[in-house]
Amino acid sequence: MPSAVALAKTRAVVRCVMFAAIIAGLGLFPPIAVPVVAVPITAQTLGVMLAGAILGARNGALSVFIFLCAVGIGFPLLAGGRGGLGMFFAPSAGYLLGWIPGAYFTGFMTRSSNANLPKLVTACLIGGVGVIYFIGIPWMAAVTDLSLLQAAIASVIFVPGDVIKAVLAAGIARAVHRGMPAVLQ
Amino acid sequence: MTAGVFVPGGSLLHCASPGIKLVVLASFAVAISLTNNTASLVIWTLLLAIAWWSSRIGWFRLVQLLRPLWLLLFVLFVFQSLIEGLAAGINTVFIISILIAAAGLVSYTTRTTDMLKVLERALKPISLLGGRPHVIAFAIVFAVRLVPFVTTVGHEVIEARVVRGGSRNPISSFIPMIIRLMRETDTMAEALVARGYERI
Repeated sequence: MPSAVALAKTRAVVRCVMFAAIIAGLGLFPPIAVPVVAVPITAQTLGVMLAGAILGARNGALSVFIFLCAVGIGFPLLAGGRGGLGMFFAPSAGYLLGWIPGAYFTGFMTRSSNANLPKLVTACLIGGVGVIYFIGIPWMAAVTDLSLLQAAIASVIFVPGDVIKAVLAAGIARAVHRGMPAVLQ
Repeated sequence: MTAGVFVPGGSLLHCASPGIKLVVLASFAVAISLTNNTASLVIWTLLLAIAWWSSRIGWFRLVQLLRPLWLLLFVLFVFQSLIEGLAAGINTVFIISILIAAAGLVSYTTRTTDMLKVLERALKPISLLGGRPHVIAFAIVFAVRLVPFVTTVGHEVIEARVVRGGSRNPISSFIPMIIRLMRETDTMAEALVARGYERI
């Protein structure tokens, strides 16, 4: 007879797995071209913020970890059909690795937000943008021998898109929590 | 599980054990990062070119691998050349390209299932902290299997919206899509437990 505990544990694992698949699925969406900012927005970091904001810190980070493992062992799941170990040697690898603490912090801050939209947006901005850049920029500087400031300037073009994604993620996460209050256990 | 970046073949690189390939890749990465003169970089590049050629996976895959990076590499080259001289510019661009190419070569010549086994072995230490490496291996394969499911549900949600006279806007479809997928996980968890999942 399966116990309720075993079922709850399995459900948590399956939710992490499902979110890893959602992050992969978001990579298949055609990049949305924003008229003002020339840089196309791929939806995958939106998935990272959503993972944290919907599943919570631990499970959100775990689902991103599962996704990155799948990419690392050779599944072409990153936006544009990229995958394999090469992705973790590119100058932008720090951003990918930053997704894990990014989802964790988003989830951590979501807990105390009480579905308050400005607080949720702040959580997504700090976790899904701030933390990811905090790891991505020094990593890029180290790999490319650029100074921190130069690496930061190179990343500036992605900021407007990421801010839009953070606002979107906060709105989507709030709606999902309202539609399905039991999801954050 | 053949949907990965793996390219089937029978070369020496294909037959080598995945563990050895990863150790060689790691040593190669360390060696390359410590190189700072162009002469030794040329030797490393030649070695890598020979390895790439011997694997018979085709040069176009190398182009595919590096093409998304050309703009970044070009900007880096200009930056480094202006600040620290032409040699530094060439070295930086070469080091990054060679590293990515070497890692890509390992991925192209190693079956995804073999990589999964290596990953499971590498994750062994987490069992000391109460984690279960084989559960993570299972989760990775399960997640890849669920990707087509996620896209199917995504399309269904968008179609349903269009039928009701709504727009094709993917963003407003995220909410019903995620709620549906999260509900689906309850059924999947029950099915897994019914099949003895908690005992693996």
